[in-house]
Amino acid sequence: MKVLVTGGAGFIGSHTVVELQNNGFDVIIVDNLSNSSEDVIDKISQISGIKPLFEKIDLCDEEKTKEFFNKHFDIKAVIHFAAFKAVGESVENPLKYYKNNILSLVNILQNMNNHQINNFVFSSSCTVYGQPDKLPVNEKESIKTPLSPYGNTKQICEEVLIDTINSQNNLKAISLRYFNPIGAHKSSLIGELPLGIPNNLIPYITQTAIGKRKSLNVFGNDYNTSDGTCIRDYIHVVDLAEAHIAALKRLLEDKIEEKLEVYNLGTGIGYSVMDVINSFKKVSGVDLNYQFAPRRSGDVEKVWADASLAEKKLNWKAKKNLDEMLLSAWKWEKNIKI
Amino acid sequence: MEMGKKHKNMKKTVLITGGAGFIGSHLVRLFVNKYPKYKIINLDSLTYAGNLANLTDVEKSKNYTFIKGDITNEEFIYNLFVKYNFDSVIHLAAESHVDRSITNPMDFIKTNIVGTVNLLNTSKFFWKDKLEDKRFYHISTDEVYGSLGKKGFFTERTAYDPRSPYSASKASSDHLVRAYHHTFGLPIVISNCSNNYGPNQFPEKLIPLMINNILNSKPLPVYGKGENVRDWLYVVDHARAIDKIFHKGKNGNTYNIGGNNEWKNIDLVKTLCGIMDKKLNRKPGTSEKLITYVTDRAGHDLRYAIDSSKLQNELKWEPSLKFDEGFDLTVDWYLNNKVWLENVTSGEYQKYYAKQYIKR
Repeated sequence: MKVLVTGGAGFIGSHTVVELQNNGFDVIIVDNLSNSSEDVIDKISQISGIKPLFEKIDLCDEEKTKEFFNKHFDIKAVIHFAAFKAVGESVENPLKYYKNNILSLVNILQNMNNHQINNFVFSSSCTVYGQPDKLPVNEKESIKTPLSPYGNTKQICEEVLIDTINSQNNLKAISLRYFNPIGAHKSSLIGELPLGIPNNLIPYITQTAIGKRKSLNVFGNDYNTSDGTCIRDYIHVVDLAEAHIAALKRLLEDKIEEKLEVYNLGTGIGYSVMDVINSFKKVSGVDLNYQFAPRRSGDVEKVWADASLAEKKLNWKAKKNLDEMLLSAWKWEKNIKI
Repeated sequence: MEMGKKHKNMKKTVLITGGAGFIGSHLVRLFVNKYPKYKIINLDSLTYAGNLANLTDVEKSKNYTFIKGDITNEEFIYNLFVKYNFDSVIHLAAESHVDRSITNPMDFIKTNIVGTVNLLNTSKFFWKDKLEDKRFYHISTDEVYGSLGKKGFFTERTAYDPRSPYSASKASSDHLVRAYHHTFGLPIVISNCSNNYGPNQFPEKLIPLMINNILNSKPLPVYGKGENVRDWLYVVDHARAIDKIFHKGKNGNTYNIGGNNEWKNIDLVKTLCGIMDKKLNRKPGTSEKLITYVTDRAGHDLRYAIDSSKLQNELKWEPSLKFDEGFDLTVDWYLNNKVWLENVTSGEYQKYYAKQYIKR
């Protein structure tokens, strides 16, 4: 069973490819390597023992995308990760984000329709909830005005998906709303590889700890939380990857109850930035150099998931705790040879 | 130990593909009746040669389920495995008529090659490393070995040399099944059988075609001079051999199945004419007059003859019937099942028949 993974050389994509291979699926990766490297493909092969097919294609390129699908007509499902994801950059260059994230989805859905590929898993994000009114947030929570063009592209993409599904007979999809994926594969061969200055907390922490960065800025310590720092629901990337397998099987086995199902993927536990720093110190033995800085625009105060629907319907539950997540991220950082 | 005793109390879930076809229906009947603890799932697309009327006697059995579907449909086969969790696949579903393969090779590529790979992939996907008690059994033909001169036999070591689009597609699927064994460790067996005859065979094949035409006093089309030689096996004996090989064949092995029963086509047709004249109370020689020689089939293999000593020695199988007994039973069956014959010869088959023979 051939599954297309777009953005398969990326952080979540690469871990999902490994899990797909472990489950016996044949994987083909499409990635334009804009934020990843072809080395990842080799690392995936080292872990699974199977080299996934790989094509370097920009999915915004209509012709190339069409040629790709004509060539690989035996694809039965698509897991779509490929997207730009830096919140800050999206504020500075919104058109880059609208163009890339929306056009690539449109091209994929068009080709899926042409080839009658009916199973689609979409990477969405908890950013669609903004600052939720009640916590933990469940899938019924209303979608908020997004705080960044990046967040808006995820919302628009979900809308494009709903409209497309409603217009077609056979297409079915699961949209997975990730909370904050961190950590790395236990082999330390793949993990998060941010280009330039990390936008996300964990790579910033590990890079600071290893000496690539002088010190960590903690943006805001005056939030309405126990220690004043922001609260997020961190989830191990391998747990997250496993949820994609569960979603894919649910689609393939025609168990879905609606043509588009939406699931939160988180642990259900919120940790503050200070919790993370303390946990990191515990597992790594490194005392981080950090200081408090003013709040960063676009950050919500606190968010964590009600992931009970995923547990019930996908029979999936995050297994790894914060210490395990941070230890794997730290091992990965120490193993990066770049 | 007597064949089958050991297996009577075992539980298995067996997918038989093409189980509504000629050979498949005899195999399904044997397994459903002989192994009440097995769950037999018969998957057949019911194209022209698959016919559920072949299985009315077992259709209500508790251990039997029929499913209509296409082996080339990946998502469908995937879901069938999800639902039934098969531990065994006996794969007979195939486009099997050489003449049709000459007119339309692509159908043979799709069903016989792509369909087989789809079943292999899905078995591999669901069985993963739990391969004990798993078995993928591919039923194939002696035609993969090519054509013989006047002497010699095909053994399991004979190099493949298929000559028709049909036999090329079966050779290809045999190779793929073996490749999945060597590459992925999939537990497989393959058997290559000579020509089959018996009840329920679709009347495009030589023996039922002749019976049907003699019955209706229609011309008996014989290719070329009728000198091609085929080795004939009664279908129930083929099903018995499959039973043996399925349960006792060695993992990764190939077994030839045949009855040491070679006939020149023209001799066979003449013998049939004689039997039919007797049974229909016609004057001896009446039916032979219907013989019409038609332009030979393109690339018509001269002779097939199979050496099945490996099966006979290692697994202690032998044909239960002599050819004249099998012949007699077969003719009687067609004479007693005229409704079946009428049903399958209407519609699509008629059109096909005209294209194949009347224009020659």
